[in-house]
Amino acid sequence: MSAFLTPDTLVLLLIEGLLLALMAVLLPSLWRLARRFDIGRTTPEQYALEKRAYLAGTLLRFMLWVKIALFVYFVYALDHLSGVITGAMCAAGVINAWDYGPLLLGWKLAGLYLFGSWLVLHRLDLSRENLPFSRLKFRLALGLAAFMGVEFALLIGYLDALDPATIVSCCGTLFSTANVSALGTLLAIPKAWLLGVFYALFALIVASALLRRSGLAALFSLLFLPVALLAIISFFSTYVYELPTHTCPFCLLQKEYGYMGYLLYFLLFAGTFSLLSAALAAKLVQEKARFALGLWLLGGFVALATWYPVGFYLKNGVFL
Amino acid sequence: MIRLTNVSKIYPLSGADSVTALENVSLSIREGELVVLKGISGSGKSTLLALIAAMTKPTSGDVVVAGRSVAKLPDRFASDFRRNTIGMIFQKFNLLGDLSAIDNVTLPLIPTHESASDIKERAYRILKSLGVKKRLGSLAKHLSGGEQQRVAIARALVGDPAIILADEPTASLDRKLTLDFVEMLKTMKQSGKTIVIATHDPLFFDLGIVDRVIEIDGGRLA
Repeated sequence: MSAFLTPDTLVLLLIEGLLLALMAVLLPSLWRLARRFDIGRTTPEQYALEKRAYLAGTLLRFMLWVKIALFVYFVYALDHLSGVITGAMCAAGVINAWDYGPLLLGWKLAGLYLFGSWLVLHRLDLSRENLPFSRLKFRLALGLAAFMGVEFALLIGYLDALDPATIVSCCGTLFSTANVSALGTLLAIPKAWLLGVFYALFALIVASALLRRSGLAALFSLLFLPVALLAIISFFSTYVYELPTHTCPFCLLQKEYGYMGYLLYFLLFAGTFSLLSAALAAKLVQEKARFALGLWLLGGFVALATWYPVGFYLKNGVFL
Repeated sequence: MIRLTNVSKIYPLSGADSVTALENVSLSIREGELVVLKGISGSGKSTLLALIAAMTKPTSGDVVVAGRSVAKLPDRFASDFRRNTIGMIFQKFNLLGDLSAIDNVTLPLIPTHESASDIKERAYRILKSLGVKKRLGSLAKHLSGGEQQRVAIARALVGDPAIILADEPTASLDRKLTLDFVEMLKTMKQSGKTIVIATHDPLFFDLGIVDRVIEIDGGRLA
């Protein structure tokens, strides 16, 4: 059975395909808007473009929200496919079944931040009478169209390459410090160092947000993201699994662990995005950055991640 | 106060057909002026008022009201602009028939976040000044034509707008009620409001309260 023919992948392909088709329909309008929109003009063409901009902006906003929600379904589908792919115990084995699988995952993850940034720019644009970011946002939308095209091609390539008969590696192999790869090297970093950087960066984010240093808050949030992912894999996940040798970022998404990964990753991604977008908005419209939501989300992430080792220690009197 | 520059408005019909309601209209109205737009039905008077009120957008040209280019206003800003700057009186009054007179008048103030008691107080005062005190709780659909018109005027004035736009306000009134309306106009004018009335009622031109008459014919200024 091909991986194309599982219900999850069919739903995923159908929705992704529909969104791409809608984007293709929108492309000529986006092209015109990116080139010709000029709020200062009072010509018939400009008034027609303003109506078109409203429609295109509304459609794009809908599409990008669906894309963001679809990421969760993509991760769920990967996890579900582990029941079909030989050797895969979780989404880790499934995503690594093709050389470009991790690229696809990274692409989709980057998409979350790009789509979210566009939505923030769109909101800022509509919040001003003179629509100051319209031309910029439609130029960026052209870039998003190309981004979505590449993403769809990667998805097709990935699903085509998935062969249920081929044995893939499980997460125990992929996320081992013995793995001769860049990830293996990173996972070999001493945990004390990693945790030191993890909590120090979080403290710096909080401090720079409270001091209204938008640029620094954004920079530290960007740095925090990979460090936090590494800390989840290398340290925190072992306390969720209560097994020192089980270091996997994907098994967290499974029922056995209460689907905890969905909440953990939501807090991490939404928190860092919220901080980045608040800094971006502050820069664009010269207003005070609104960091409160991002700080609450990221604070929730750090508290939740920290709870697992602390809870384990309270229960057992030792760390793993 | 109000300036239109090379404004055209074309309504598309089915297929390639279209109706040109206004063609290359330029005019300006000063603060405190009472201006009558005169013209036969279909000449473009109502479209011109709708453009000033940011209820529709031109096909080309610019409309500047109270220093803002309302032709460019996105809808969410246009609503705020209308609530804060414009009082509109319609030919058929456009009251909500199943609401009482006072509720019709309080409606425009609800999004302003004033307290409910303040809103009621303002509505009461203005209805009282227009002589509708005894019918405050009556449903709008049960009011006479003259009463409905007064409630419509109260609704237009309750937000204390700088500009009053009236589209054929006396078309469904008899001569006595029309004269009453003219008296109300005088009061509004004395309070410094800019007033633009679209009408072809000759009474307005005979009573000497109008500062200027702008004639529109076939979508163009005559």
